Amino acid sequence: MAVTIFERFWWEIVTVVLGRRLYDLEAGRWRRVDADHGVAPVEAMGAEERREYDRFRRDMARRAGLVGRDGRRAFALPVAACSRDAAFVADDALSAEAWLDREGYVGAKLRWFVDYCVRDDYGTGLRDCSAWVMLHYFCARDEDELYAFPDGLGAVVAALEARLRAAGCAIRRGVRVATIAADGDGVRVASEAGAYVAERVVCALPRRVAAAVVDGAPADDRRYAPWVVATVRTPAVDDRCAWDTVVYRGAGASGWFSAAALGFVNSAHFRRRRSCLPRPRPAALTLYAAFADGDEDAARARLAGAPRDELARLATAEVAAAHPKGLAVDGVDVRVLPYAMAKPTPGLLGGVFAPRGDALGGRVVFGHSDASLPLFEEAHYWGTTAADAVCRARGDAGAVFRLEAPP
Amino acid sequence: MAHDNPSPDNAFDVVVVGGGLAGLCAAYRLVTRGVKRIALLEAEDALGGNAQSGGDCPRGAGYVPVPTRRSKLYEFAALLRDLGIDARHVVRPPVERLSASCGRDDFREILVGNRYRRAR
Repeated sequence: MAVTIFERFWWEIVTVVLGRRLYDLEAGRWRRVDADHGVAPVEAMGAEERREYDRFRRDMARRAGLVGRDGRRAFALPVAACSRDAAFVADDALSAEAWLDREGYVGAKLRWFVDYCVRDDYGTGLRDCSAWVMLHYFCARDEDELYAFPDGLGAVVAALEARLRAAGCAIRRGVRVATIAADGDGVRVASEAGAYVAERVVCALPRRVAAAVVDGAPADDRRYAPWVVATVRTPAVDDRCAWDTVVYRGAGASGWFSAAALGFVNSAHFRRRRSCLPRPRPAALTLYAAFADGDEDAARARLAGAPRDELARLATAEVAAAHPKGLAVDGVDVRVLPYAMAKPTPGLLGGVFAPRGDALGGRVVFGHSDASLPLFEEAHYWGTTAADAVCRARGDAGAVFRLEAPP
Repeated sequence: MAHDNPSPDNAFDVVVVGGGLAGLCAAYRLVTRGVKRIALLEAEDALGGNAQSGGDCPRGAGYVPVPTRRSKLYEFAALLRDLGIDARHVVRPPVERLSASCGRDDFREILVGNRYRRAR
């Protein structure tokens, strides 16, 4: 187990380029997806819509190069490295929808595309998403190269776990922490499964959990998007099924589940092909759905009240709608994440530039991606900087997070 | 498996509470800075939080963009390198374009990597 599954299958790590397709349900046809346009339905756009879309892209390309009066880039990752210049931060007071209105971006297909992007990464639609966050999505990085893994970022989790175990870190699962409180000069972490004492604690819990568990933690002020991750297993995936399939529905009516669905990824793409001839292969098709609109509590209640086989049926219908041929199904695994993502609503940056820091006189340091955006890069930044704060408090002055390579 | 069963009053230098990617990265930093007695506590039976593995498929987040020079991801890129994910696996786009004609039965799909390239 020490030599991880990850290391055995390192060769499966591939960079996925153009392996993404868009099914235009409105027009009943597949659309081209390329590195320049992502899933934007550019082929389906009329001339006026296309001009507006091109204007949007030019605008984003211009903003990607902006630098504030503080010398920092307007849009960078991690978010904490972005410029504090009021000229840029002002857009964090607006919703993405209000920003598009203000800038005169009215095309339905452009808006669908922008909405899809922020839903897919942040579980948040245009109405709720901060305009600054939407701009950051398009301006902070080049999106055309990805590291993708057969089991998603689970491969990275396994690699980290292996290194922690090798270093002697005690990893304990099934420990639901009830309280984190002062204990003499240290900290006591109590759970039903037993108590732990430590000199110091890194609290890498979502803030809604931390608020309930940590003595003196700041109140939770975020809204959370529920997600469903559903895997449909088929004995014979259509050989033409792309790595990632996204459906563009156009203006047509869609049900509550369809409106939340973001597309599905195909596990068969990570297996070596034994033959150049197309033939049916078993595959796991993993569908993502973010319930990004309206009242989150109502969405959670609806998901909690829906029988699992009903959610499985809805997920299967969603996959089948964009599967090139008829879809045979072996089984469906449904994972409901009621509080999957803290929504980056307007006003996000205040908390990023003045983070909540610590509790119990610095003995508990907070570190979780919900201090900024629900991205791996942000989880890494907040977790690592929390660990650095602990190390410095223990006398290791060299524990400092570097944004750039040392000179 | 014995050490997966918590016993009461375990003493550590640092306890990391939460076994999602933030907690794992925090624990990894502590290890690399030489902290010796560390525990990582996770409420669920599997590590990873929103990045849990489903075995042969994801149960959460599926991919991460390759860090580019545009951003301030020096440390993040270094972590990916430490974990065996690096530039050897990168192919520069566009290697090949999709067919301009995208009828339902007339398209090409491309997955590109060191060992993967497919276009029909």
